[in-house]
Amino acid sequence: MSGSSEPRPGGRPSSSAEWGELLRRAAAELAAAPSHAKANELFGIGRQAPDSVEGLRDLTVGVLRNATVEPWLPEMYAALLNEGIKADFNVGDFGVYERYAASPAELGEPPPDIFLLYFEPAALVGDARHEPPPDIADSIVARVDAIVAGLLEGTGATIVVANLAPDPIRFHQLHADQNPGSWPQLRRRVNTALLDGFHTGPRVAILDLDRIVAEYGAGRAFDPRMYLMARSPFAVDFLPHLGRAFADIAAVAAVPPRKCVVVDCDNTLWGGVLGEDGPERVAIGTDYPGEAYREFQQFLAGLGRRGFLLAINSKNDEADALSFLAESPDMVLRPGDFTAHRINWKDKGANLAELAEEMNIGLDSMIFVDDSPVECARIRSAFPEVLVERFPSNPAEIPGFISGMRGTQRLRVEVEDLKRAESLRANARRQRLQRGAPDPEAFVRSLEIRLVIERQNRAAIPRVSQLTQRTNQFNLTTRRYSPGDIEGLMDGGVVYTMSMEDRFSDYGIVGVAIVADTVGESWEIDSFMLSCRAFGRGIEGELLRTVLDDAHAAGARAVRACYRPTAKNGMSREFLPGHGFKLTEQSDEVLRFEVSPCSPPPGTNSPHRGDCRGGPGHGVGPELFRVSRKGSLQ
Amino acid sequence: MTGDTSQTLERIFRSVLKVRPETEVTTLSMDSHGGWDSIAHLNLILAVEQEFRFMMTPEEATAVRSFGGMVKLVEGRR
Repeated sequence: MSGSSEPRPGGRPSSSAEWGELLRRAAAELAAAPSHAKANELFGIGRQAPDSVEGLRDLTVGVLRNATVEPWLPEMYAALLNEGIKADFNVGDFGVYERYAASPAELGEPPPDIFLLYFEPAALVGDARHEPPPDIADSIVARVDAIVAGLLEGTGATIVVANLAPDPIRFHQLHADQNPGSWPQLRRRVNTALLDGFHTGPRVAILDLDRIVAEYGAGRAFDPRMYLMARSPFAVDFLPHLGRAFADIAAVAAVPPRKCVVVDCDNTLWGGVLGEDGPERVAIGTDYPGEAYREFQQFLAGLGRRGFLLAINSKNDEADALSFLAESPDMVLRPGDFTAHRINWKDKGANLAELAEEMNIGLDSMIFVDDSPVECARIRSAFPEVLVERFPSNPAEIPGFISGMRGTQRLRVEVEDLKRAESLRANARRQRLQRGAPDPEAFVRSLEIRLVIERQNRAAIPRVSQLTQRTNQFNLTTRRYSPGDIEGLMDGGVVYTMSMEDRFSDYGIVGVAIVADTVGESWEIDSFMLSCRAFGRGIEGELLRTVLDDAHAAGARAVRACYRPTAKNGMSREFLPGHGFKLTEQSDEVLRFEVSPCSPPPGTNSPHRGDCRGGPGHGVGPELFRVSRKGSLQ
Repeated sequence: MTGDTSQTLERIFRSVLKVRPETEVTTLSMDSHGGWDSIAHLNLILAVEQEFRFMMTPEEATAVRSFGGMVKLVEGRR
């Protein structure tokens, strides 16, 4: 936008990309320095742009109204451009909402993707607002309901209903507001009913104009003179706010929602630079400025609860940053709240691409938050699809940043959204833990595994049979059994099942041990297997320990087991010798082992945690798992 | 002073009324310029008021119908 009387050098943009660049830049300039003249110019230029412009999503907005909304459109247009939307407006005739509800095509082509319903209360109620009939609130709500129902039925569009703003002429009459039955009271009742009635419906959203006006200040938002002159109630300086409010909601409705917020650490999650200032002097806590950063963390935590993934992309020492996050008493977010992180000295663009891959989401569903203008600019140019939000360097501006942060609003949070986010999160966390944990025991401990080992669980017979059929890798004998076979084995011996739960999910039954013969001086382990979903945690030892403890308690002198090699079960070859079993016989087909259920533990791998005389359960050292055992041998 | 006001108004008129670069602005009037309809007029009033930070009376806003008239109105308020 040249803004001067000279012709633009080079004239119109020649390509779709140039158009996109021009419109975006002009809209960004307007956001920084509002001007009704420049908004009008941009609106005019935009009309000459080709239908589809690179990087901008086309959106047709149908406006149904009973006031002069035309002067608001330039600011709405600019605000929508800032959300990546190039809008086209079709404005209906004054007051005839029902006509378009009955026949939406009358609004013109193309059919709107989104409708904005604006009701100017002064025109809607007319003189009745001076002495309102008692049923007026109900009749307004019924009218809006019917209009919305018609549009929902006749179109596939999202319907945005602006609720009723205060009266532009008498907005300041506080005493009237408190008078039951007065128009201000009834207006509030209408607004409450609209919110209640539409918040569950699909494709309908409320533009809370009442609140937007209140936040800006009714005294400044209205221009009563303009209302009387031209039926346009709002002051010119309020128009950018109105535009942004509508653009916010239109973007939420029209643009696939962002899923992940990627944040910097220094001067974003906390104030100051951890590596330079040290943990004692970094600002996070309940005093200013630490409180401001805490507020931001609370905001992020709230996004997490609403289904957003959180991730860190920070130039820092990884161990220092993570331990500060984990240990600082004032931190709201902990390492576990972040689905993934890249804390290193590498390029943040490369980090961001890796994070997207690790979390299995697109770059276009990410919001990048960083206080460095350089990093922001770099990401913006490298990945235009990423929504970049520059975090304020002045902590006093953090509340404003939080309120205005783009991409974080959703019309409504569906239960399914939360579930999906939780499962994405669980997968990514598990992967990260496995990759990043320095020692395997700490990793296992961090999973907070709970095991339930059951004897003779008849309800599990189908699952046990299934595991014998499917388990190939960790399977000592690879004997396949039908449910009927399992029933028979239960009658003649003991079938153990082990189910596992960790802090991310419930896996169900993952391990099976079958003891074929419990009569006499020795027990014979017929089958022993672990589902591949449960590898790498060492829980198989717990199952074996239960068998040995039971054998010991039953008075068995020896427990025998064998390993039958197959093409796939090489990984279970070392299991028995690793748990104190002695090789007794070896051929190509089978390796036979034996152990005394009471022999002393040969090492840390031993399933014998207990003292034989004391019986099972008296552990040595802290337990890696919480194990409960159920059922009897019979 | 007059020069400044006139230049600023020229910019506003070009932006709001979508005047072609080759068209002279200073001689524009509501009757001679097709794009100067009632909505454009409303936008013009709002833009001028915003730029110069004053409010016209409804009578002033209705009476002004040319670029020259707007210059005079703004100058009278400064």
